[in-house]
Amino acid sequence: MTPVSPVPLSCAEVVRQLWPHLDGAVPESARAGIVAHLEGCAGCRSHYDFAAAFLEAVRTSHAPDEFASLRVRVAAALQAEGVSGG
Amino acid sequence: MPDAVADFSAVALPHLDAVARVARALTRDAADADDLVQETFLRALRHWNTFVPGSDCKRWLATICRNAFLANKARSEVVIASEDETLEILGAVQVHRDARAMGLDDLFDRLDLGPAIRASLERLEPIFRDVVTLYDVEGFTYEEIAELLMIPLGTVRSRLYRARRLLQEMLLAHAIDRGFAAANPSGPRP
Repeated sequence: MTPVSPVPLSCAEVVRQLWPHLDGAVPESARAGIVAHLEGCAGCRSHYDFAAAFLEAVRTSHAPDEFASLRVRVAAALQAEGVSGG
Repeated sequence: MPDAVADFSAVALPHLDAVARVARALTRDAADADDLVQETFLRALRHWNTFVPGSDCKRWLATICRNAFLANKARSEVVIASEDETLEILGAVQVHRDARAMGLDDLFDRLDLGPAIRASLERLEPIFRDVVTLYDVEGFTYEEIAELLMIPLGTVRSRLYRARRLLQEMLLAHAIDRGFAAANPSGPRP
């Protein structure tokens, strides 16, 4: 079967899918059209790259010991139930 | 203690941060959230025999947390924020245009924004902070957050997109305040 080319999308249509596309929430049927547009449109690609870099910065931003005291408290409660510390 | 719980600490406790964030989002009170986390782990321990080894422990614990919250509070209030997902996305694109015009197109690649992001998250209203933390930091899906927080799926998306747009605005302002904007901004916006 010959693959069907995606329907060309406008910049406005692609930009509206900025977050859903980056979140992997766009239906497979629409994804190819967005990918094809991004490959050929530097302006939209730039918006997506900026948004992707932002998401990566947020994902890696949390402090490692944010819940340290809570962790100690829960470990103590579990220890009282007979579970050794984690 | 029987062998059945021998690996509880190793498998369940690493997900404490995620459970704590779910608890905060549900209770909106630090002390209540800590109590809920403790109760979640105690419940999880008691029902550890129902956990399927190799399945997703974080989501299993999150569900226990939600159920414990509902059992304690016997409530399921739904808060619906005003929303316009498209407007928020276009707002985020405008933040990028502003950043580019000020020579900050590579804002997130060039600067270590970890502390600024954490401070900005704290400044967000809780309904927005909760969703962006659960999605972007903890990796829950739209659907899982809707179920955990008992809000419509569309509300999850609109809160998430708004939170991201607000965070971007705050981080751009932070970079400008720190003097990272170009002295001679680049040309016209596309």
